[in-house]
Amino acid sequence: MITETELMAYLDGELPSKRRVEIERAVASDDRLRQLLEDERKVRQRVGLCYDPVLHEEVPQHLMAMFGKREQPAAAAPKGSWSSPWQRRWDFPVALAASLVLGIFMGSYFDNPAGFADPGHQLDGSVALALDTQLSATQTASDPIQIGITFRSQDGQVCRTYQTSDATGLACRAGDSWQLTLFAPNEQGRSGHYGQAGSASVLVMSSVQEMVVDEPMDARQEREARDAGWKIGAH
Amino acid sequence: MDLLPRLRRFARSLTRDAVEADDLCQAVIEKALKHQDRKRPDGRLDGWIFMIARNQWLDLQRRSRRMDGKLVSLDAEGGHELMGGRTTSDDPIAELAIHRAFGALPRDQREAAALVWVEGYSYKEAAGMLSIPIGTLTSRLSRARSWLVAQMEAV
Repeated sequence: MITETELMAYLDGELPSKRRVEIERAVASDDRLRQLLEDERKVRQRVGLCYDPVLHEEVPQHLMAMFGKREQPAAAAPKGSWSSPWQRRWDFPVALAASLVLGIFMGSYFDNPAGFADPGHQLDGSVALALDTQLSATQTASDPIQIGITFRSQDGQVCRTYQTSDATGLACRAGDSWQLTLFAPNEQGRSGHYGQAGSASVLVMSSVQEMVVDEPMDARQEREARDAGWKIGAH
Repeated sequence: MDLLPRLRRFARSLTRDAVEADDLCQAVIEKALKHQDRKRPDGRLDGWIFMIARNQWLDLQRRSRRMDGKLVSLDAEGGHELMGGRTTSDDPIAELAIHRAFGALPRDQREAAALVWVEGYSYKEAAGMLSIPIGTLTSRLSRARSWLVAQMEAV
């Protein structure tokens, strides 16, 4: 049962990863929830569009003078924060090219080389293992990598979303490996700590909605897909 | 000083128009400069400044209500009354439906919404700045979002 308060908390990036994943699954297959989420997202978008332009206004001289300064301050944002409207954590357009996303996030992600990825980057290591073997239906909260949803894309590939403590990702099966299609680091909160994955999750889910054929896989389909080696056409 | 743009944005979301917003900023800066010694050395500057801003804004509310009977009541649990009048043609924000809706929120909901949705503070940070439990913050936010969503649908 997902309350409107929880949807609000989801959009504000306040939910723990496991609950986020559950909400994404629910939203992906529930039009009413999707609409509620969209309505909320629009309100935040409008709030941002309304007030963010103030950040870029010239500061009145009489205020500057109080600090004995004449030059305009550098535009608002301290390092790592998101202040321009389209970067705001809930304000992502529905369709966003993967390369554009990666280009945007690369700049802030160099601190964490373990998570850095190029478009089409072939995954190995623990993420690939999780994608290969882990089922969202049977994973536990203590798994460091949380699988989100599994679905067939319009390109005919099997794709899966996942979350780590640092980022949200979307990978699709190509041949014998997983290729990273979308990768979004969690937003750094004002306090400087990573972990607020709201924006990353929303971004990935928006892209999923563009890509998915029919509905995401349920537990049985997910298991069958895994047992068939993630090859398309497994039923 | 680099906080000025953000402070102005915060002030703008709390007040009716740009003039009021910059008046608020001026009062905040005066206070902050005067009480620099009171800031905790380990504390974050922006949190401290925003708390001053919020308290100044509350003072302003109380003083305004006493002075000007025509001003809309902004009590904590009061009803919603859209702010009218006094919009100038060179102040586009004042015209926006979302700003009018925002301004019609009761005080406690508006400051919560401003901290979280305008300034992007986390629930924990915002609750700390307002000295309220997180549950109280989320219930205020929840009421605020219901109102804002309803207002947006009506437009």
